[in-house]
Order: sequence, then structure tokens, then C-alpha cells
Amino acid sequence: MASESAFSREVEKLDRQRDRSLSWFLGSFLLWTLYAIGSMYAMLIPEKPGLWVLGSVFVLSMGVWVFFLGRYLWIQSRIRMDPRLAETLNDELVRIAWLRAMSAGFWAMLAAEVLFTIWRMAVNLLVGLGLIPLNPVVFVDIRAPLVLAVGVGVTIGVYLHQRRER
Amino acid sequence: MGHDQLENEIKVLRAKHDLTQAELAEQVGVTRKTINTIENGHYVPSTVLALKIARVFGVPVEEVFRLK
Repeated sequence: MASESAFSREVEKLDRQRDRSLSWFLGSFLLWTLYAIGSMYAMLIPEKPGLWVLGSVFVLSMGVWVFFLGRYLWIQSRIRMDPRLAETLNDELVRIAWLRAMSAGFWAMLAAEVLFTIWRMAVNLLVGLGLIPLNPVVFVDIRAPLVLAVGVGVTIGVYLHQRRER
Repeated sequence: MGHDQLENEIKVLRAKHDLTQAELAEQVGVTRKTINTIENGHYVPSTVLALKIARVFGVPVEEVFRLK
């Protein structure tokens, strides 16, 4: 029974560490994306006050998400090495939560892509008709980081939501 | 079938058998969070998992889970 309790504690610890790694990864990845988009707009400003501060946050947030992604993958590889741990920590709720999360992430990415395309077409039309001035700000291509952030955010967010304590 | 249509007696049976969520989870091979979500009615387990839970308590599955 003592070894079983030790197994329970190990499962609980790895489960908590795995979810915490995903939370940190998600938070820092979204922050990094925000700064990536911000830096695209900053390119348009001739004077860039405090750009080194923004750059530091950009690099720091990237360091954090790379670290926690690596930590998550390391925990997963450690779990896979032990068949009993692998079976317990990848139980049916975990598999179903990932399935639902990936489905939600796919539709969210598709919706983001469609909305962005509609917005871009509307802006092009309004510029073409001369209703809004030709401003480079509206032509900054933030589609890729935005759609990626929506996909990653919704997928991991839905997964963590499904597995939260009640 | 919605999740709100299934009730369970896991909490009562755990108390009778003096089992924690973690101990029950270990005996059926899932995480404690999975037992927690089943117990609180947020997740409907597979037939196999439901049978495993009933086996731990030594009762038929209908005594653990029932439709509202």
C-alpha cells in the first residue's frame, strides 16, 4: 500500500506540473504574440521610444514559453517511459479533453481567418472608394500571428478548462 | 444524452469504503481529477471505467450510476 500511495503522489505531482507548464506556456505565448504584433506596428513609427524595453519583454516572454514547452515535452517523455504512469496520466478524460480542445481550436482558427479576411476586404473596399485614407497601419499583416494565437489559445484554454477541479 | 441526466453515488460509496478520490483513482487507473469530475457530474465515464468503479465498491454498476 505504501508503494501505491507513492504512485498516487507521483501521478498527482506530474499531473499538476504538466497542467502548470501548459498554463505558463499559454500565458507567455500570448504575451509574446502581443509583442510580436505590436512590433509590426512599431516598425511604422520613425522614433521608437522605449523599444529596448519592448524588445526585452519580447525576448523574455519567448524564453518563458520555450522553457515551459520544453518542460511539458520532458514531462510527457518521462510519463511515456513508465507504462503504468502513461496509462493513468493519459486516461480517457485527458484524451477526450484534448479531442474537444483540438476541435474547438480548429474552428476558432477557421473563424479568425474568415473574420480577418472579411475585415481586410472591407478595408480594401473602403480605401478603394476613398472613404478612408490610405494608411499603412491598416495594411500591417498581422494575420499569421493572430490566427496562430487564437488557435493555440483556444486549444490549450479549452483543454485546461475541461480538466479543472470542480 | 446530456451529462445532467446521470447521477452517481461515488461520494457516498467512497465514504462507506473509507476511500479518498486519489485511492479510488489509483485502483481504477485514472487521475484524481477524472474521479473528481465524474463524482461532481461534469464527466460521464466510459462503460469500462464505470464497471471498474463499481467493481472497486463491490456493487452492480446500477448502484453507482443511475439516470435521473
